[in-house]
Amino acid sequence: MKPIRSMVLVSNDPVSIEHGAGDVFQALQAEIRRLGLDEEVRVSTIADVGDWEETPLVIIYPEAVVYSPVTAEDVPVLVEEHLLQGHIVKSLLGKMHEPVGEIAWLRARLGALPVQQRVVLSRAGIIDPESLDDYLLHDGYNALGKALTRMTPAQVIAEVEKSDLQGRGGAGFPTGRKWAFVRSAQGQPKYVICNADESEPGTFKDRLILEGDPFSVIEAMTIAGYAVGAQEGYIYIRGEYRLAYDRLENAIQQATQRGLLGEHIFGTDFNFHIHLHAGAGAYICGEETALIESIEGKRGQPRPRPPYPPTYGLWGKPTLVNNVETLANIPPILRNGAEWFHQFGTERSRGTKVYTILGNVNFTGVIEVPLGITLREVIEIYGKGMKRGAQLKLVQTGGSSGSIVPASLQDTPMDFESWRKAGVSLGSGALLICDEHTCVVDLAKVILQFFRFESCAKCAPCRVGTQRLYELMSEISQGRGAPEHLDEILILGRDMELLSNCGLGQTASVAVRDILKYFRDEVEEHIYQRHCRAGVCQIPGLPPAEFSAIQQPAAQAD
Amino acid sequence: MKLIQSLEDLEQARAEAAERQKSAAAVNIHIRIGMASCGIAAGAKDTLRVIQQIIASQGLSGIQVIKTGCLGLCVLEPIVQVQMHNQPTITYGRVTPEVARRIIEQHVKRGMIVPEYIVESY
Ligand SMILES: Cc1cc2nc3c(=O)[nH]c(=O)nc-3n(C[C@H](O)[C@H](O)[C@H](O)COP(=O)(O)O)c2cc1C
Ligand code: SF4
Repeated sequence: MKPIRSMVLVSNDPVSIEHGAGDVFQALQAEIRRLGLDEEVRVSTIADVGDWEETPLVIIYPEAVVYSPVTAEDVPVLVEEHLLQGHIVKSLLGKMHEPVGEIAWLRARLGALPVQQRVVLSRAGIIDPESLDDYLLHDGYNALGKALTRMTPAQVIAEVEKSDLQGRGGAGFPTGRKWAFVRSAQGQPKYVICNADESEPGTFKDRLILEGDPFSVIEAMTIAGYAVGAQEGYIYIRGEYRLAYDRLENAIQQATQRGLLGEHIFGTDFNFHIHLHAGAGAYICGEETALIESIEGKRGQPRPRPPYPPTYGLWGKPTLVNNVETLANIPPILRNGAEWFHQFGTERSRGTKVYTILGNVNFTGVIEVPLGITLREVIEIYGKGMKRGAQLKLVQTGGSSGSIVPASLQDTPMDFESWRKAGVSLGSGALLICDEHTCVVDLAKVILQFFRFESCAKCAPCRVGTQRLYELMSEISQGRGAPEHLDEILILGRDMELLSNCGLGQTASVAVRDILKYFRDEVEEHIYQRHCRAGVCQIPGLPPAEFSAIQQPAAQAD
Repeated sequence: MKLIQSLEDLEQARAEAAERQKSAAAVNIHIRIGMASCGIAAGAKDTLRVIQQIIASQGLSGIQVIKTGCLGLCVLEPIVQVQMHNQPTITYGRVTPEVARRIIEQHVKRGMIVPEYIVESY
């Protein structure tokens, strides 16, 4: 399947329909079909076009050109000139005036976007995930075939390194380099693990891949096994993902039947087997060393590191652990080459990213977009704006361990590099979008409640710290906070970051820290005025106006 | 089925797969329905059942119903996509059994798109 290169939108508000938008739509479809462009060009409709007099409109992306009014007779010229030849048809351009509504926004970003570019999700939702036939008909197993019959393991790793793919499991570690570590590590046998634990609240991108395109993960793991020299692979899958489990099981079975898994794959000497291992509901088991312990049948607690899994992993052997989305990038990279992959994303962060959008936006779901687009774009274009026109207050990125991004930073490009500079972690790719009715104290409390529950309790900074942070936030939310609590939170948070054994404890305080950085006044209001401006926290006692911070120490007010 | 032992085998297997899909009663209408967790939670199983019932009870032919994963439009589930005679695919959202009935009657049987349920910008 070719990537979609243009998107054509036809206005279908009532006035446009009256003016023949339906005919235009059908004419466009027919013409695009006639010229064989239907795989690369998508035609759709758009309802909110603001206040345009001459309708129907036809808007073509990525150039964001607005044609209006368009009749069915104009369509052949439009398709021929714009979509085939790539020229803008000046005579049909809409009369320039202040654009409003959805269009205003899109015009402002002329040429930049917004067609979703799908590398990882190119098949999800399109093919039958239970049919190997369907997978084969959509480029399936070309990458493995190419790797096994035409490339050495070193060449496969070189190609992945050249692609600059970075891990999508949270840390953004360069995938090619990790593969090279495992390949060169001493010790046999070696293992490949697909991390499908995905327990970060609000993240369900891996589930979408596993449920919609399970063969791609199987194919990618097999390639990884060939590249690093492993013959056994494990998929550690979140226990609740029953449907994904069944589809993976079916995929493994079908692939094995056709000799695409098992012994002598593609007639070579390479053997590879995949085992499924379901988790049991512990968030910490997504951490790679806890995950390994869990597969070994032990209690899921992170190991001290170093040594890291590439040298000391499953049963003490060299082990590659990659996230589902990371792996799903591998077949397209091998099929089309690293150069091809470079067309997506930015200089320092190549490729696309799958995000789950949730919260107070009109559209929630999963999108795949190039790295480097901004939060504003995600919210306005893909999220279709804030619900009920509310104001954006903050976005939490990357699930509970992610950062809090205030509305003022929404124009920072989202890529590994820019966000690292801004102190934000891209994390797992969840984007929780919150409007002004969200109380930051309440949000912090909910996040800490999660961590205090999920801490594996192996080390004190995290076990005690998450509990204490929760208690402090809880006090503040009930109007019992004291000024010195804020310092305690910051010091405790820093200690946890420095002293915890694993990522859970190290990141548990990130959100609270960010909240105190960007929304300190609002937290202080809870303490001094005993007032929650969002009206979320139930603060007992007298109405807030009668309290004045200085004369009424909060501690006595209960 | 034959083992795939080389790139030639892979091509052959692909050709056979295409043959199998085509020969399924000269299919020229494809109806895809999202059956990932989100779709099922939103009632996709009921939608699917209705679609299958109508096809069976009216003896409609040339239609293949494909259960797919999720497109990412989770709020709009259940998602149904209709592709007729190799035309571009039309994507419908929030397809309750009621809507599914309309899509079959109007779009699949008479070629008229049901605009109210078309999903924008996908
Ligand atoms: C508490 C915690 C939970 C994690 N959960 C996941 C998870 O659910 N899925 C995942 O892929 N990585 C998770 N990770 C990251 C993994 O430890 C590891 O970095 C990742 O699987 C590496 O894959 P990548 O290089 O492909 O990104 C988690 C890390 C921590 C500290
Ligand atoms: S930081 Fe927390 S989750 Fe990680 S090992 Fe320590 S106690 Fe366990």
